[in-house]
Amino acid sequence: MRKHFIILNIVLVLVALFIFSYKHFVLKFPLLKDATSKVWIIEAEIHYDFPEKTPLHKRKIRLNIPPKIQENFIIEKESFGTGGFSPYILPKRSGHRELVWSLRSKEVDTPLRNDSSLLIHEPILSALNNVLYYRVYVRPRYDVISQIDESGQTPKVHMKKSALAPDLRVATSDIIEEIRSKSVDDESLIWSVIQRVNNPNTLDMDLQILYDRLGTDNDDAVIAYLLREANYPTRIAHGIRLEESNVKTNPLDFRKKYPIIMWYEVWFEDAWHTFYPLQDEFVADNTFVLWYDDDKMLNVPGHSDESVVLSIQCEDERTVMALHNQGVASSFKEVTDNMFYKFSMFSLPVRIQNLYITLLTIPIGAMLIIFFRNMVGIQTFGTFMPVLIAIAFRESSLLIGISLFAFLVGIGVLARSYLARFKLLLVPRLGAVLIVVVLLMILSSMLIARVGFLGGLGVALFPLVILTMTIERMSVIWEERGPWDAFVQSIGSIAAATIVFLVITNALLEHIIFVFPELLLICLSLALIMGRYSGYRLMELIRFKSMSKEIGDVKSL
Amino acid sequence: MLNLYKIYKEISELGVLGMNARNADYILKYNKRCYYPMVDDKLQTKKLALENHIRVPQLLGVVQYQSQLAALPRFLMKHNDFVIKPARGSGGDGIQVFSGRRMNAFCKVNGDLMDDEEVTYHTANILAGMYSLGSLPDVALIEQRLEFDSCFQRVTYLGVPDIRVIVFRGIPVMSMLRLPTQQSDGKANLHQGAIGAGVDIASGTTTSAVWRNQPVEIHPATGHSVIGVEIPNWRRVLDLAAQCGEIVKLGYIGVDIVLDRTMGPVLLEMNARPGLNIQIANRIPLGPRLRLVESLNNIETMTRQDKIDFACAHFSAATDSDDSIGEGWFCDTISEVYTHDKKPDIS
Repeated sequence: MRKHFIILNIVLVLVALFIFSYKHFVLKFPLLKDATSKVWIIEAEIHYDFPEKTPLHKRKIRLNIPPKIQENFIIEKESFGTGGFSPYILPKRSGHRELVWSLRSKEVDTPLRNDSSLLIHEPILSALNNVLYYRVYVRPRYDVISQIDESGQTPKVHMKKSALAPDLRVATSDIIEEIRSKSVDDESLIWSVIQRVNNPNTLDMDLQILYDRLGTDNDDAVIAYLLREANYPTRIAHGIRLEESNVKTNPLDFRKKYPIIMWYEVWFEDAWHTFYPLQDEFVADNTFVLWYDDDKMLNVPGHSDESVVLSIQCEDERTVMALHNQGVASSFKEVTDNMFYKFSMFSLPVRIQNLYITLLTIPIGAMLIIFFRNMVGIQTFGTFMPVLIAIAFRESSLLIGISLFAFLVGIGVLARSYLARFKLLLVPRLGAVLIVVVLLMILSSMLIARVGFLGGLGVALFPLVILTMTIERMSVIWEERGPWDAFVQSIGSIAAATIVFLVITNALLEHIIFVFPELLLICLSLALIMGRYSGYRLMELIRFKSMSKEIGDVKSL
Repeated sequence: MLNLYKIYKEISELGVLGMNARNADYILKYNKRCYYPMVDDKLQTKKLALENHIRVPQLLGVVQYQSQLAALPRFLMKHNDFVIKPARGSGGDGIQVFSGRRMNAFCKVNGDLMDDEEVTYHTANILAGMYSLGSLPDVALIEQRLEFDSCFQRVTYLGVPDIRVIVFRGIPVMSMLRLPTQQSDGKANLHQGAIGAGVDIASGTTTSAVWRNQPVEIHPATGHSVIGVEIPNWRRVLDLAAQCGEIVKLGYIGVDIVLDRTMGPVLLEMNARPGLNIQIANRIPLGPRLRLVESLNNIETMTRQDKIDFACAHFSAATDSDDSIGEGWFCDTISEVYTHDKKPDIS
């Protein structure tokens, strides 16, 4: 038994160390995250669904994908799943490109990209699930690109002039002339156009004619039209901000949406200038262009952009290099390395990866709880409740989290003791307390939103049932053992949750466990070893201290 | 830090049993999971005891279903002295002790009154599983309240004192007398504020006591010394404890026994995870005693009498200079110090 146990632990640790050192020293996965060599992975997950009777040639999915050349980022690599289609990429006039998944490629004249490196390792069943993936790896650009076209001319593409109906022409020139007379330079003119359209005066008949005649109620289209009419090449850009704070996903909230922002790019003085329709946005070098002009990202009849889930992840460049520079040497190495890729976290869709970044640290939290309970002897409500509370703390900040938790439990205990006088049966009473807790959450979220701490909104994610059970257990302990015991256990739970929170939100730890999940085998081994610890708990040293102090008083048998 | 290390070393040299060691070395090893219900469910314990002619408090009634609650007050009218307890409660939670009726309500031992509605509500909570292990639905037992032996009159307050005996492989290894106080609300559980007084296995006399993890000598409510209390019929108490160890198929248990005024030793309940405070109450570590019992290889052939004799011979506080135990000079000197310093106090 004992031997078996020792061997098991040695095997676990050795396997973990072997995989770890192979990945680190041979495949060159970096141990630390280097802030200067970031690679962003942006993934679009498309959920499509064609009605039964759609003819095959109409089963076509068009996704706008980012322009190859952009100001802030360099596209390193892109890949996509086939999902049973034959996909190809079409360059668009406005600068970005379009990825088309179709069943029969009739438009053969565009070169079909037959590069197998472009194909994603996609789940075998994704074709049946009606899911498609597009993934792009981008790196921040530190050099400056020349914005003038190769021909050296100003971009013609964005200078559309339409044949004008007379009233439209009059309205257009009225507006432009009026603005031009008040403007001192290009920039102020462009701002005035944007202002005029965005803050409409109800009496602005000219503008009304524009909307009617252009057949749109889209402000952006009107602004672009006006600017082009004023001889400024203009394009409407859609993009996202690549920020690290946007990346992490709470396991309780993995359907988070990334905000897509929109701006105008206007050409004057031989360069594109960026204008945000809302002035609280600012020009920043972390904006990544997704597509131009079109108002939708996905062009499939009967589908909206709701069918696209965007996920972003930030990885160390060296990790990505390690993943993609595989399979160059012998065929054996190719096979093994390929295996390391297939069984690494990176083979998963980015959305799932984001989920695992936080999920993978939970074993560490569990290990801490084992330590607290079996080696230290801290009393907590429920075994792993502190871990769940710690996860909930992620959404708000720690201090706000703790005070909200204390507040909710405190009020909950009061509510329960009030309800106790009605002599409710146990389950209805639990239900009633749960409802009270939900109401309190709503109330506190509203109060906090009003005061302006956004951190507090995360309270909605506190595990409700856990809170309710905590309130019930605390009340029972309060009644049966007295307030002191209830207090000790609450402090124990909060202290444990705080320490677990501080450990599992450590960015370095998160990164290491994500890149080297095999290290969890060491956690497993540690948990097993702690399970066999039969020495004293720290708290027992205090409890039995009197026996050692008056050693003369204690008999050994 | 150094100090903690010193304490650790000292108590482990003494052989104080810690929670982890108790769980890993004794409970996991000697107590099979499948036999737990016998002690965790007080109804089963009672049945088992009756089959083996062991005295238990008389069962007045069992409330199993919510629908029976309506008839409960009328049923209880017939009884003045009774206890309501959850069948699968732990640590004394959910036990209510009543000693009579006053002003149309039931009177708890501490003088508080509970009317019909409150008693019914408490019973409903028991049925819903508020006090049971794992919050499973439970049943409520209504038992006769025991009358404790008059010898405890001066050292108990309100409740019924009981004797906890740790029985390991059928041998009583350590025992203590648990005395309710004001704080413990008539209950004899140490963590609820009762006093634990160590009882010498050989003589049945209390030797030292602990209250809220601190050594005490006098009962805080009555002011009488809790040291030197002689328990009558001690041999019968040991016999009952050893018999429980035999019938229950668990190797390491705590047996709770009440000395009833008329019935003598009565089995109250058994516990598969007995607490460790008994060591502080006795000021004796459990480790060496358990190891000694573990080292016996002829235990299968020993009769109950042999086992009790063995316990009395080896686990005695007063005459503890037995060299076969092998703890060396340490043991001897300590016992001498003990006899010289403490004995006069007791008499």
